[in-house]
Amino acid sequence: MTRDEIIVKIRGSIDRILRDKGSEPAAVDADTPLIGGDIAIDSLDLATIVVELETETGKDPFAAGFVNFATVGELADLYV
Amino acid sequence: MSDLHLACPADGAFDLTRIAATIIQDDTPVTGPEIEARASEAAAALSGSGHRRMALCSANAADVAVALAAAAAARFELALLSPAYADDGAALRRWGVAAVLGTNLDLRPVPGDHPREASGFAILIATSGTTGTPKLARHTPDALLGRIGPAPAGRPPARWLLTYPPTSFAGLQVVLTALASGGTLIAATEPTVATLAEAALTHRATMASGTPTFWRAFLIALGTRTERLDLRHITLGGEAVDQATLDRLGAAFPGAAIRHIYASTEAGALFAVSDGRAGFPARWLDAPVDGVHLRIRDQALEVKSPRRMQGYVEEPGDAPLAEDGWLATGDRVERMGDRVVFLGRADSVINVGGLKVSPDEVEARLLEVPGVTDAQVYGVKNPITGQLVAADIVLRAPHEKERVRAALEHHARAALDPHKVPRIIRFVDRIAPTDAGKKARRPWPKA
Repeated sequence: MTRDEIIVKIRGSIDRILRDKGSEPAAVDADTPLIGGDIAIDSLDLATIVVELETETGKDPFAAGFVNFATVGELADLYV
Repeated sequence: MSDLHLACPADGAFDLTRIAATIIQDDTPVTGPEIEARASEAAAALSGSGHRRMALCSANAADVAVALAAAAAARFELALLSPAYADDGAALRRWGVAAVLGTNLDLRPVPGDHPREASGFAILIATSGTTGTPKLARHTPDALLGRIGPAPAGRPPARWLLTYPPTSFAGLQVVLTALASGGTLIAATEPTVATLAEAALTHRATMASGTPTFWRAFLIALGTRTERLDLRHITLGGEAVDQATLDRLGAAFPGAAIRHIYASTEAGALFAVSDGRAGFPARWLDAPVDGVHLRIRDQALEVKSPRRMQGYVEEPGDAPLAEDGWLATGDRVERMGDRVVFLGRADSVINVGGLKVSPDEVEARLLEVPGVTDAQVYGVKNPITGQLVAADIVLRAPHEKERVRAALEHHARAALDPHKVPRIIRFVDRIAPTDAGKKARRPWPKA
């Protein structure tokens, strides 16, 4: 998958998580911070997104342990 | 272990009624004298009430400090509970709580007959019960304060970031440490990682204690702003710490001393590891560390601690103690050369970001969904939260898959706390029982 395709996947996951929580939908692009910005997701939600990305891409960038990232684009880069 | 916080056994426990610390609660400072004044008012009300066991149900660290100081002065038993219990009359009665201390220092009696015998100042903390109502673990102040000493002279006062609820065992350790050291405690009533990241930057936190999950999320939330935060001491606890998380934190906060602690509501604060490596030195199995004896039995860690609780409030004889005074931690460990490493739980309990989940409770909820004939719940390794809850589901009819998936997600979210909701659902033909007829648990599979 390309970086853009993965960003679309992440955006889809965030949309669904916000909808499930009854939160307002949010504009999500590559520079959007995953936690601490304008979107109301927490570490549990992020853990779920990471599982979904692993299923979609077949890649596990965290196989050797935690890797740091902050934005949607930086997370997508790990799966390209 | 030369850190000033939690590290040196105190020569004598500090006086909880003398508060030198300031608490910045939701961006508003509450000074030591203000806490003391409110505490004297509350102590006077408590003394006149004739009750012996009070509860504070609050997410507010300043309220917790006031209640602690008041209970210490009036020699009361103080149950520290989350706000969820404020109106839970059944649980409060079962715990023998005679009255609830409100945030405006009013005392609201809990109807029922309550024991009136004096038992002195003690702190009661809810265990992280995985099912039903938690038990209350009774701690003496001396045992709780055993690893907390006054701040050494000549160092600038510490500025603590509180990442745990102030009524939890881990949160209380931080609150007590801040009160003892006379520094500043930075607290938020709704401690999301985003809120805490802003509070840490705004109020210049120098010390913070959190779960590995908190620290990973904190790094994600801060991004490049880690450079603006001058953290001196980083503590991790509540779940197993992996080497990668220790390494990322070290790189993000080069000026910080990093240690991970091992503690539980039942066993108390046990030991701290500050050499930057996961697990703990194997030589600690041979010689006590900070007064704590450690041994491995049936591949699980057992401890003998001078700081353990006295017992549970409801069932004083029900503590998970072996005959010889050792306490089973339920954590699976393995000796690897000069190191003992944590491998997960010896039982089926799932640890999601430091919060424990009982598979039985989740399975019971999933089986309530029409169309589900069997369910098996287990933990799956996760790079953010340590583990996530996963469920294997056996369907009544294969064509119902999508309807049942939606119903499971909806029902689980309504019936369970967020960390207990299965995030991974797989449909399987059958669930294999073990010889004993119990479901085979798979504690640490990879997704």
